[in-house]
Amino acid sequence: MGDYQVDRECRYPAYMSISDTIVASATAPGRGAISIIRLSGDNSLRIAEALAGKTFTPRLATFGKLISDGLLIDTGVWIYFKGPNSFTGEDVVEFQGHGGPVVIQTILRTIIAQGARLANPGEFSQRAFLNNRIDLTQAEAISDLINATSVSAVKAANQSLSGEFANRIHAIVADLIHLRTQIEAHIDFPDEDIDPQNLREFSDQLTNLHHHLQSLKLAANEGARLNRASDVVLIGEPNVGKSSLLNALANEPLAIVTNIPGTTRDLIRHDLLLDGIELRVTDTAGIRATEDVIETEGIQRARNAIETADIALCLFDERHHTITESLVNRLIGDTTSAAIGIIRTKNDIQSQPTINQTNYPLIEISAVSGSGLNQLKDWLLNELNLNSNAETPFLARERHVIQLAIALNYLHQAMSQPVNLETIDLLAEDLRLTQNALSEITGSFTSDDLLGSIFSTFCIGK
Amino acid sequence: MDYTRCFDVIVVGGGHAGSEAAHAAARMGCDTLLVTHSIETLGQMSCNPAIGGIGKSHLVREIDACDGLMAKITDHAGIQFRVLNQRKGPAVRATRAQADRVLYRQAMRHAIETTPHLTIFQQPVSDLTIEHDRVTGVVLAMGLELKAKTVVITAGTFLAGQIHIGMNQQSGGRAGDPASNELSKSLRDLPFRIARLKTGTPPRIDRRSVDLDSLPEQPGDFPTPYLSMMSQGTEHPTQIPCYLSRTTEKTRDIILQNLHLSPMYAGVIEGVGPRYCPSIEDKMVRFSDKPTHQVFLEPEGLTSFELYPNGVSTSLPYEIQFDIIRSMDGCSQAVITRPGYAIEYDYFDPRDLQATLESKLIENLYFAGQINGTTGYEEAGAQGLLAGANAALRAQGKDSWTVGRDEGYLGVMVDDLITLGTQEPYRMFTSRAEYRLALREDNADTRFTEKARSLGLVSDQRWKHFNDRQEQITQEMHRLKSTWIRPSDPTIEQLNSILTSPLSKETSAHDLLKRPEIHYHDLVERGEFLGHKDPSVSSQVEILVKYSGYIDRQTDEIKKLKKNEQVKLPTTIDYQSIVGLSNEVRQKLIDHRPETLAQASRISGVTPAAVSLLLVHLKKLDLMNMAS
Ligand SMILES: Cc1cc2nc3c(=O)[nH]c(=O)nc-3n(C[C@H](O)[C@H](O)[C@H](O)COP(=O)(O)OP(=O)(O)OC[C@H]3O[C@@H](n4cnc5c(N)ncnc54)[C@H](O)[C@@H]3O)c2cc1C
Ligand SMILES: Nc1nc2c(ncn2[C@@H]2O[C@H](COP(=O)(O)OP(=O)(O)OP(=O)(O)O)[C@@H](O)[C@H]2O)c(=O)[nH]1
Ligand SMILES: [Mg+2]
Repeated sequence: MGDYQVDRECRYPAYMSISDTIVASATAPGRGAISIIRLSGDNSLRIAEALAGKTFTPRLATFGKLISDGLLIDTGVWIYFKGPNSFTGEDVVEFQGHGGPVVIQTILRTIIAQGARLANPGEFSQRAFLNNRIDLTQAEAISDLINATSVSAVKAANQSLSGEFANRIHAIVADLIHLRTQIEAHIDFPDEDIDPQNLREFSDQLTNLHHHLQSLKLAANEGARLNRASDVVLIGEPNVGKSSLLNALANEPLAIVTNIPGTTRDLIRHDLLLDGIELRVTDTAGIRATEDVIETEGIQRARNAIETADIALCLFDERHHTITESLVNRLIGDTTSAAIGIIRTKNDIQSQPTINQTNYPLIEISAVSGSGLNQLKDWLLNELNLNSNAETPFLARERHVIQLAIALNYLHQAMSQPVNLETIDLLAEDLRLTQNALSEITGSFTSDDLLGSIFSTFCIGK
Repeated sequence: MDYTRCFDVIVVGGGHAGSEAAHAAARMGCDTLLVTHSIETLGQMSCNPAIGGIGKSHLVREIDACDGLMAKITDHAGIQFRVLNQRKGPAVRATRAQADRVLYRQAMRHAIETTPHLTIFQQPVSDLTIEHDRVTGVVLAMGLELKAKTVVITAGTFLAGQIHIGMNQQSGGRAGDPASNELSKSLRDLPFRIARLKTGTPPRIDRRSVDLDSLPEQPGDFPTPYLSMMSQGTEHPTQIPCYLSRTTEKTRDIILQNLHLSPMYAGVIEGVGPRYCPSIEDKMVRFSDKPTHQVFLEPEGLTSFELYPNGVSTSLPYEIQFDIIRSMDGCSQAVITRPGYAIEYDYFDPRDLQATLESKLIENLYFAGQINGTTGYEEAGAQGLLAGANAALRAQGKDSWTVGRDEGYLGVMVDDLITLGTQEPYRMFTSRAEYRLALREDNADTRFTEKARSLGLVSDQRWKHFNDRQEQITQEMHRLKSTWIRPSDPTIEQLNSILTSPLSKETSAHDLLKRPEIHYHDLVERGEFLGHKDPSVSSQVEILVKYSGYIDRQTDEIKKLKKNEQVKLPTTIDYQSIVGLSNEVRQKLIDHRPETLAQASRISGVTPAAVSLLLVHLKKLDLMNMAS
């Protein structure tokens, strides 16, 4: 335990006396920018000193490494704030590094492996408030923060829990419930005439479960595209360079590029991994008034694509120097919920400066020279990821991966001895904890739900 | 009964909850009055005369660890004892006893009648006297008012009880006993949330009319197990077997053809039955593809010819019951002695109770037993103990007693009831207990006796027995830790033959026992050391060693959750004013009125974010109080 003293004035000493250690990235993990990882709680100092390989003095910034298992992960500045003189009132350590999302992910995982857990939305501020580090006037603000971040967390979690990932994890949970139902029925109703289950079958189910969970974790870990990637749609008048941009982002000639307006008719999609974040970029038909049946259909598809997009990039070339709200609306309508960015294309041949009269950000690029592409990528990452209060899809997935690892650990324990009657209560316990871990992803499953499953599977009664 | 006295505790109802409640209060030295309809029915088993079973025996052992009655009485009245799940892990083993109904009642009555400080009076209670939301006594049917510091209500299935046999209905608390309609009416005038539940019982049959020779016999275990830790081995009466009959396809046809005559299926009964199949009708409807269901034929007693067919509870008309019974294996000539029936009754929403079983709405008033939505003698008895002890503590002006989910099945049950309420008759199952591995039948004393002693519930005799046993367990543990087994020992070959990997270095007996393939008796048989003279001590030590890894892990989990258990939510809290809570969460909190943050977090739909918001709100209130 750290040397944090229970504040005598605080009337919740019970709550405060054991504080588990939490960790989160305190800044948006944007590329190139400085990133801050913050730890708070009794074990912060121990964990940080272990990773840095040196000891810290309160309030003294030390330049140093962050090493895990002998591997250098990042270098940066460490600062230790001893509780109660810290933001949260607990022992806090901050690490300012260079990492982009992938490095941050590695750092978070390393710290979690040392016994911290990912902070809940708003938890740092909440602790600060509970420890009298933030005064009464801020109470509402703290509540609003918890509320807003948890709303975004739910959204982000839903996004992570979609597509293939969702299918696979739901299948695993269903199998787990099936197995637990059999075992618990066996335990709670030995006198009932349940078909004598052979333990071998339990064992097989267990092995299967373990296998599926392990491969899901592996896949999730490697950032395989298990969930719905974020949708980025390129939209603009014909010939502005949409297909050229797609090809430039993809680094291969996916879409046909010609100087004939109206080249692209269909939606062309490309999945892209940007610093561990999955994007699906969609090229569309140029928008204009036309009689051509095929082109009209293409334009309709382009408009549909905007409906489901997370980000709409509106492309303009040298034909428009002044970009107005109405130009943008003409392209995408005014009902989309997507984030909007303005792209001025072909800046290798642009002669006049662009005047942006909208509130949307403007990025100038050239598909030919490649200029501005990095800036665009940064902006995309920012849009999807960052907003330091909001829970990001990236973080949500990270939470899910952590839960998978915890669940897998329990299953591992369950498999450490052969399934037999004498230890079936231990097996049941490991499976309960496995389920608890997965419930953090898929929603709670209570003992009453389990009984419900037993009663609907077996005929039981006095 | 001296009507001029102000009693410390008045218990209303002499069923299983009431008996334990009154006995507990009296043990604690309180001047206690037990008022019940009939002294003859003290300890009456309304239904199946069986005590214990999975999950339930855990409760019985917990009552016993507090020196309560149920286990001791069952040991005196039990005519068949078995340990269920014998071959499974110790956490899920459970003792079950078939009791002689008459012996049980006699033993219970004797125990109640011979307890100091405990007075019995036969009279229906028709009302409560309440002043300023605080109960001050009871009113008897004959009009007399009695004063009390605290009152415990344990009216069981009697409140506005309605008995159904086919389409025929009559008022009753159980077959042969009147319902308690006056009290039901008076209680409905108070601000409680009241709803209806239902349960049922099978017809009884005369054993002389059953072809028992054709049925498989199910004997009790030998040596005969005990329920009470204090039993010596001389308590049990003669032991007799049960028999196993089965329903047939014919049974199913009869039931399915006559479903419209079942009050439940015809919609006459509005009360909710449990999801587990309580009636044979339910079984046939929900599992119609199952050709046969087993029915245990259990003797009702040594002096009775009646058998209790466990598994065919029904409220179909008598004619159909007759056909059903006769369609079962070995029962073609069976004679029914009493009809089966279903009963509907009032129950009080247990979310209106505190963890002490005191009402949140009326001070000094406690509820225990089936009236809180549970079913079963054991569930009732355990609540009776808790409510009785708390009523006594209140009367004595002492701090109350609550049981955590990590301490006992009693804690699990009460917490489930008061935080979640119940939509069906609540029965204990081991799967309800998340800390199942730690809450075992075999260690109920370790979990309860010390606390119970401090409350004044435990006699000197049991206290001494408990301490001796704990001491022996500690010593035996110590001995195993300091008994070394070496690869060079002459007997090592024998030992290696049962180890999955041979012993490679000097190991203590304690550490060796941690290996799943090794048992205490293996070590004794192979001459590694002498076995302890008391097998219950050696088995306790063995369990402690084998479970230690799991128990440690649970202890960590418990510690983490504990902090929220200790954050109290004031009753005055205004959920409408809490910033950020969704309407759904608000409504849930208003309905459930949780006492602690932990309880709030266990209510379904209350998110972790909502818990955080609550915590921030509490802190805010606190800061505001300090400022003013
Ligand atoms: C038909 C039926 C079938 C059941 N089947 C089973 C089963 O198979 N297994 C099982 O475990 N449990 C079964 N139960 C439940 C079990 O009987 C109860 O859960 C248990 O008896 C409840 O105990 P109790 O102390 O709460 O109430 P009860 O045992 O019902 O006792 C209530 C007592 O209160 C007295 N009383 C009521 N009102 C008043 C009043 N106004 N004034 C004075 N005295 C009053 C009554 O006379 C009675 O003595 C069944 C119950 C019934 C009725
Ligand atoms: N100089 C220059 N030319 C470009 C650039 N991007 C695109 N072009 C040219 O602009 C023309 C149209 O490019 P496309 O990418 O096909 O345009 P589009 O928006 O997909 O057009 P449609 O599919 O017809 O709607 C081609 O001749 C490209 O070579 C750029 O960055 N610089
Ligand atoms: Mg194109």
